[in-house]
Amino acid sequence: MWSVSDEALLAGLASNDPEAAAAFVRRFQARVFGLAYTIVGDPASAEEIAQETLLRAWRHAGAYDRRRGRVETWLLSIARNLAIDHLRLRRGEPVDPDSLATKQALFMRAPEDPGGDQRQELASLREALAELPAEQRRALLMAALWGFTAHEISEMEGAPLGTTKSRIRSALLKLRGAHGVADER
Amino acid sequence: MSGRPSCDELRDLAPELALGIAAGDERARALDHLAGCPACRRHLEELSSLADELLLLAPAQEPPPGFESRVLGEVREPRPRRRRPLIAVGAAAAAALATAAGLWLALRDDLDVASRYQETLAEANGDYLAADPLSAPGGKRAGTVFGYQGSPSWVLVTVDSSRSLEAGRYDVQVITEEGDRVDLHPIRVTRKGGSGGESIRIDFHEVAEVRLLGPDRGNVLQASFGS
Repeated sequence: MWSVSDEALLAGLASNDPEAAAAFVRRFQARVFGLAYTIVGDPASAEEIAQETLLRAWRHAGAYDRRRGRVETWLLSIARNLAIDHLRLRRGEPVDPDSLATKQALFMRAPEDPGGDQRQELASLREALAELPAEQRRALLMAALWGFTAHEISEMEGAPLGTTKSRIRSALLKLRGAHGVADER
Repeated sequence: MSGRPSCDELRDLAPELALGIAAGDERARALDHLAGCPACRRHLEELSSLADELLLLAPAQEPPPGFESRVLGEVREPRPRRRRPLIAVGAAAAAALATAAGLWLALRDDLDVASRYQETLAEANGDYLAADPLSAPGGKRAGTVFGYQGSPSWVLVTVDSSRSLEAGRYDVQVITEEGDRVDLHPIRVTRKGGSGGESIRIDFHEVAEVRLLGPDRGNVLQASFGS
């Protein structure tokens, strides 16, 4: 079952095949939980988000369109959106800049087991991200992972809104230049 | 910015659009431009796909023991869905059931309502109309969200008058069951309340939540429609 493509597993999931469902969950649970945990920083909420992500994938497996991205990025973007929604509901609470910095550092750490070609491609993206000026990288990750708006980032960073917007823009455009368009479809 | 944005303006905004952090009115204006500009659409797609790739860098981590069986348990025995049509049984079927049970008189008013409801829906081939309370933090009722499943589907939000609610511009977001966000036009809320509504480019049955984000993103009001 592990040699089956992501798309085939998803199709199995859509047809309520119990073996495909189990293989699907096993294949993606660590990535989905890992991203949710990176964003929300508490295991119980991360578990709820990861569970809801996989259930939504199961409910919407039939509607998955491969032109919109790989199964893995589709799943992770569901998890990201759910995690940001979860944070938004608590957005009244102050954000601890130290905890955000720790989370960003963890995010930037290269995995011990890069495993395979796809991870090589990711290594080059990680490298390009590491080479960005720190303030650009921070602004980009605060937007990409935690869903902070430019306005919120400028307040947290104590930088003018225009500067913050241009940091986000420069960061993403530099990554695009360095990494190329990651996934030509 | 006012009027339809130029390609330069769109390119400036594209990173925030790709990262899903642009404000609702900026997004609406951008969509206007993107509808007629394939080059900007391609540019935005490239940046969006790059933003998605960034998520792959998050360190994988095994969830707590028992996670897999809990998820598979839900897949095998899904939770009952809370919502769906306000009237699940058609008027004719309801009448047959009611007669069989000898409850015709008691249900006559309900059947009249059912019949009028069906006529209303039939007018534009709609499937159903739903309503759920809009809740402020702490679960206090703050208004109502109405949704219509039809072609097009639409959402109408009403906020009740309240002294405890912060006045100002509220961003309106529709969250789909897949977790995607669709931004609607913001509404203005005063102490006397506020309302706004529009057609949505997705089916209403895909909507899991409708959310209002108050000034400075405080004061989140939400209504849930999903499972």
